[in-house]
Amino acid sequence: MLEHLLYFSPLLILVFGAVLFMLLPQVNEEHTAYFKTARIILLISFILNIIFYNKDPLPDITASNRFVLLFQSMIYVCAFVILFLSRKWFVAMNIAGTHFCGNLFFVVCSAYLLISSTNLYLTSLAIILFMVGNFFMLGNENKKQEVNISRNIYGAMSVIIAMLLFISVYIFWQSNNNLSYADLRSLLALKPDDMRLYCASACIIISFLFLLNLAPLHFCFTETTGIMVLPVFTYFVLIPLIAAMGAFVEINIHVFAPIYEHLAFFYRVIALLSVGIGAIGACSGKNIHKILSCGAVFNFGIVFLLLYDFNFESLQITFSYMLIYLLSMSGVCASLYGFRIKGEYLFMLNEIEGAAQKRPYVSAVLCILLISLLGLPPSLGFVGIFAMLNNLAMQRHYYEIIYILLMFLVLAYAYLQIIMALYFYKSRESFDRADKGIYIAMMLNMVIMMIILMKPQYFSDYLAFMTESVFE
Amino acid sequence: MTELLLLVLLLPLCGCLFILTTKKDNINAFNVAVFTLFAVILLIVRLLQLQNMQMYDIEPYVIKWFKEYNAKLHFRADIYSLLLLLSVDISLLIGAVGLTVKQRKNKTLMLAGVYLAWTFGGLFCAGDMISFYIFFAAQLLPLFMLMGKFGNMRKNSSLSLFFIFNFAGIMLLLTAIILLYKFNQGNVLLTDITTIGLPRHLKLAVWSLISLSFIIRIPIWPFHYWISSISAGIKNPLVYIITVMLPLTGLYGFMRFWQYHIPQIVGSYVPVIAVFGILTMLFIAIIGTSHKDFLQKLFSYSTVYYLLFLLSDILLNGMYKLNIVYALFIFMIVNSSLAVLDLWSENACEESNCGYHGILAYMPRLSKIIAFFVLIAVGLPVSSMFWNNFVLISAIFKANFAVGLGIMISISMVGMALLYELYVMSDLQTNYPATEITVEDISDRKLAFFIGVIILVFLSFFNPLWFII
Amino acid sequence: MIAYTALLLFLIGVFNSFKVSAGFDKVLSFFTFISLVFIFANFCDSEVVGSKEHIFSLAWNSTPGKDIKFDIISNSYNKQIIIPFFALTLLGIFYNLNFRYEESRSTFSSLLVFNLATLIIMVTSNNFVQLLTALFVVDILSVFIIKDSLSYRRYIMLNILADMFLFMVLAIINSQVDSLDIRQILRYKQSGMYIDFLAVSGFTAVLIKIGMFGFHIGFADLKNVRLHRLQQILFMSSPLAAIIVLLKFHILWQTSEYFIVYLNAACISTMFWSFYGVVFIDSFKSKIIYLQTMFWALFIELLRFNGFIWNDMLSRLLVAMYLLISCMYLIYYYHNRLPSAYQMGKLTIRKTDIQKYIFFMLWLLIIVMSGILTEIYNNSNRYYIWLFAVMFVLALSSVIQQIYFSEKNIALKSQDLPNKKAVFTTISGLSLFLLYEIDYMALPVFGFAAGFLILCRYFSLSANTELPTSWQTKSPFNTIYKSIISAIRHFGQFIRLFIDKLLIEKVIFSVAMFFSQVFIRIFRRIHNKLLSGGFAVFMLLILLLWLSFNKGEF
Repeated sequence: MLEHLLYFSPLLILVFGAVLFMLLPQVNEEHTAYFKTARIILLISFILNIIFYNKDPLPDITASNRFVLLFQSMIYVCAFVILFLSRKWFVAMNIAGTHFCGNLFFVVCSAYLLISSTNLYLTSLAIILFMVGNFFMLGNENKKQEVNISRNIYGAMSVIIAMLLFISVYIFWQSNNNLSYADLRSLLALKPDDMRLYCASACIIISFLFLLNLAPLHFCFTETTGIMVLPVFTYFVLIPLIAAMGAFVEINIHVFAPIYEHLAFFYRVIALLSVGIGAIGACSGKNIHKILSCGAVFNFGIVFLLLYDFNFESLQITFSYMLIYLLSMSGVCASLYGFRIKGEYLFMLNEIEGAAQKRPYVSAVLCILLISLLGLPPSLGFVGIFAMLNNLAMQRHYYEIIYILLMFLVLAYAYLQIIMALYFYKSRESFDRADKGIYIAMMLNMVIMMIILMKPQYFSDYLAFMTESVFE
Repeated sequence: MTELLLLVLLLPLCGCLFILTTKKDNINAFNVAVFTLFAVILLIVRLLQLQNMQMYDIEPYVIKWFKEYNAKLHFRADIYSLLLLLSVDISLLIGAVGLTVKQRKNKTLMLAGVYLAWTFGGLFCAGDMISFYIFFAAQLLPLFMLMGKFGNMRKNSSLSLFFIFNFAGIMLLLTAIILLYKFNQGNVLLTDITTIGLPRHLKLAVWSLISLSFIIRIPIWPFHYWISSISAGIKNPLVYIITVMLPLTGLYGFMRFWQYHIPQIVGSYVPVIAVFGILTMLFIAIIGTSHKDFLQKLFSYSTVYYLLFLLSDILLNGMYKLNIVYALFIFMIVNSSLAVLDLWSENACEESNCGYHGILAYMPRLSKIIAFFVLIAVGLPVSSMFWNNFVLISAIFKANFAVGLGIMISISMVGMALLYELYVMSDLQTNYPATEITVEDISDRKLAFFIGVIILVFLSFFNPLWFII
Repeated sequence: MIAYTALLLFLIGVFNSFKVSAGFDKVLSFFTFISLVFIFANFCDSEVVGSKEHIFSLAWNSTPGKDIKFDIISNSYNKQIIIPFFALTLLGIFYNLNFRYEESRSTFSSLLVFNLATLIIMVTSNNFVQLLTALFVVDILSVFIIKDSLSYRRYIMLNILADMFLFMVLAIINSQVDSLDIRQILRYKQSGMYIDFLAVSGFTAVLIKIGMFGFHIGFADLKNVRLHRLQQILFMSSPLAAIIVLLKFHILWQTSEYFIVYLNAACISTMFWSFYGVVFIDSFKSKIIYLQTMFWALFIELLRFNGFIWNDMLSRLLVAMYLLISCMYLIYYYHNRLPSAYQMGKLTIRKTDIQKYIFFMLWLLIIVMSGILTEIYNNSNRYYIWLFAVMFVLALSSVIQQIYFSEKNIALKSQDLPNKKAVFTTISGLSLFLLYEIDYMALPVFGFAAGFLILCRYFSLSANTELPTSWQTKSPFNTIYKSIISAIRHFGQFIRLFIDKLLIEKVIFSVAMFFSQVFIRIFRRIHNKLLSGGFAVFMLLILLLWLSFNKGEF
């Protein structure tokens, strides 16, 4: 029992963190201490998670392997980055940030469960918890009226998704009392052409689409990110996507593999739709958050497209591409913390006009990272796009290649607006000094990217090593 | 020799790092840039000497970059790449010399200049398609930044269009490379690129994509708009020179990808490119006559000549590459020198309020130098460009009389337009000022620098590679 | 021998091009003249036997494909061509020495010497590139000789155009015969491709360089150039270079049936147009320019009748014409350098003996020239030589009549020429020398001599009336050229506006933006209308899932 408790300790610590921060009094002057504590708790949980990565407390409903560790680690690192960066925001706003920390721990818990789950009950629960966490996260420290509307929409969508999950669980439960992934796979293997089971599977897939913000369920994400505060935005473009992708891959490999031939067309259309809508949507706004979130839809559309048959090669490419995206995106978020006028963080294009004159290094990093997101050499993004296109070419998906490249053009136009605003206008206002921590974060990010660019083989080998365990 | 080549490739990168560490609003960045370019020029001359002596063959420098994708990067140099790189570095040096004191303190400009020198080095020395693509695409961001910051763009749409057109070109090249990569199961050396066996329809697609990506850079109608739209209003010599160099990458792409012969499958489409090329030449030449600015006429001139070199390469099936490179070497230097000299005169014109007409009459030194360069540009036999152009045009006439005729009309028009503008700038009689004006002529140092350039160009008339003897 | 002479000339040119003090300048130019006289004497005395050639060859440039050699071929034919050029240059330097019209006489002398050296290189060249190079150098030197930016604008533009024509012609020939050797052009006949185009464009270049009808405006602009410089341009610059080109390429061009037709048309039209120019344009220098173009038309016809082969008579005729223009210069000088012939005619010059002497020299030169024509006629037997000659004499006598015999109303004490004896002696002496071994007692000579005297006294077309200003200022060719240039410019602007701005920027770019905006609006509408939008989204998902279940098939 104690042993199991020990294996559960990372999760328990996270739960402890969530509860602690929910209960802690909100003293605005103590934000540094709060965030420091949060980081320590997260670090301890992370270390314990690494130590017990292959120890499974509940083998029937959870899994512990290198693949799970990979995604959990990504989530921990992203959470750590978010805590590190968002402290600047809370200090600047003079807000305690305990709710945010508590909320973050809560969603990290949900993500932890979601990734390690091997049972549909737990998966459904984790998804619902995740949505609840996101729901609260949306309104975090935001006094704007519009955010309530967005929250309500998100809430409504979450309820629909929860209902779909319920339907799915009910159908599967009717067919088989045990909802472990292995049993469900056997069930689907027995009846691959069963419409009921297909519909149940589809309900689960739709819930993942919602979490992954893929088209046509992207609107909650893209519309709400525009009005989010910066820490919440950072969270939304990183953690939910990683968690959902990890869990989605697992459930596809372990459950939906027998009916994959029925799903392939759907996945392909969804992926292409996301790529198109992400690229075109990015051109529509003047809000940097919105442009970047559309970029996220675009990139995850590509990621989705790469998962064509969930084999080892495709997963490896998918994760390479995704990790490169995450690295670039975390750098982008870090640089967004560098743009501030009179304590207010900027997120509209017209607000950052001429920022390069006042904040040359932050602007340069943002510019390089945006170029990296477009896959232009010699940035790291090139490695991702090269691997991705090569993989598609190997599968003879020539039309998809043309389509993706065309959409890259459209997305380039959107990112161009940010770069142009930064560089080609005269600065009207004096920007606040950026915190040293932001420079450190950006520098670290750039150094990591440079190392991977110089030696992509190490990165690729590491991913291969971590990914192969998903098939065990 | 390989070590020298590596040094040529790495030195600008080191220069970039040094420039990054220099203080803002300081001349140090400029000094680093000039030193870097000068050092690279010396290294290239040494490489050319070694190659000419044929002491030993050049071993390509290989970097094992991405083992999983069998992506080894090869770097090697031959007479074409070295000579073109030399011309680019000399042109950049000319551009740097042409900067005003204020412009020299601009760190971004210096950084972009040296970075581009690095990318040109990489591009010209790339031995395989991935390294070629990397450096081909790596030029876009600094160029875009330079255009936006120093190009005095009136409309952001032009700037976006510049980026989108170029990005599209890059994407096309990437697609072609990916396809080639797939069929070769790995990276392909540029020398072997025409030998890869592809299905017929795919072969056509790949070569069409490659051609299109280079054509966008050159640029042939209807892709010419981005370059004409950005060229207007650039008043910074280094930026102007860099802009004018961009078509060189496309041209070099054709020369490298079709190193020995044009792939049979696209050979039948060469007349189509020729027709578009010649139409663009005529259009740009006619448009050039309608401009009332020396720099814009120079821009028309340079585009027309790039197209001449392109047509020479593709129509003559790559048999006259060395002539093209010899002509390009002088062309680049002359073009850069003219841009710098014109901008100097325009600056002097602004400072003294003497007006554009007849400005050169106040600046006898500048006037003589600019006249010399205009005469070379027009096609007078003062440099190796004359002789090599003669050989190329003669060969084009043999290949296709109509194209030859179109080329002659175009180059005559742009030449005459330049000459006329020189006359306008020298003619004081029709616009004699009411009050006496004094304009500062170029300094002794600048004069000495350009006399050096003139000697370099003039001696090429007797031997294009006189400097490596 | 010729190579040696050319080298010496080049060295003298370099030596003279250095800036020196005014005192040393005088000494230097004198010694330059003396040394050139010696070189010329040596050159004329040197033995070039028959068809034996001495070739000075220098490997100039080696590039892939072809090597270029710098050749100077010494033979008697080349020497025969070079002698009059040398003589004219010597005369030019002699005037430069005596007339004192240059601030730096040595610089001007160096220009003339360089020009001569370049012409020698042209004459002796055997390859295209050398010929073209020399041709371009002549053009550059002409800019320095004219030294007036407003005047040389169109002249140099037209010359560069002509150079481009020749560049093209030579490139085409090279493309077919695959050799840079001029002697190989006969091989081109075998292929015969584009021969008409070659002949027409090549000869057009020659016409432009000579300033024949239609292309004369470059020369017409030179009316503000100082007369001594103008004289050098009219003889020693582009026209002579063009004649050399004609001598080199006539073999090929003659194979085109259009060549002779074109040549005749050009010469006849030039004759008539120039006649109009000499008679009705009031500017004295313009009259000289047109007189010279008349001469070139006559000269080209004479060349043609002579089978495009240079001979002694042509050399003499060239020198005689140079002396004739020198006489015109003297008239101009003694009429206080007035620009208008009408005003010159109103002046009474007190130095009547000088006036008479100049007139006598002119008359003598008419005898010389008619004598030469008689000699050429005897060889060619083409009667319409006389038609051209008569027109020339008519035009010249009209000018002389206007200046010498129109009503006088202003008395003028003109400045005397410093070394007038030397100049007058040289001109008259040379004129007499040109008569050597010429049948000056022939009937045509008598006719011309008498006719000239009568015409000068009575032939008055424009003598006593001030010609309308519009005739002086307006030229249809100015309008034509301006129209062509402005048409090209407007067409350029049209293309720029229509293709670049309208088609690409407005249409293509706007269409792309329009479509992206349409998509954006559709998505926005779905988002804004949540209920219907949400419903649509779910329906879409269901549709997709259903399709997917059927593996993408309906």
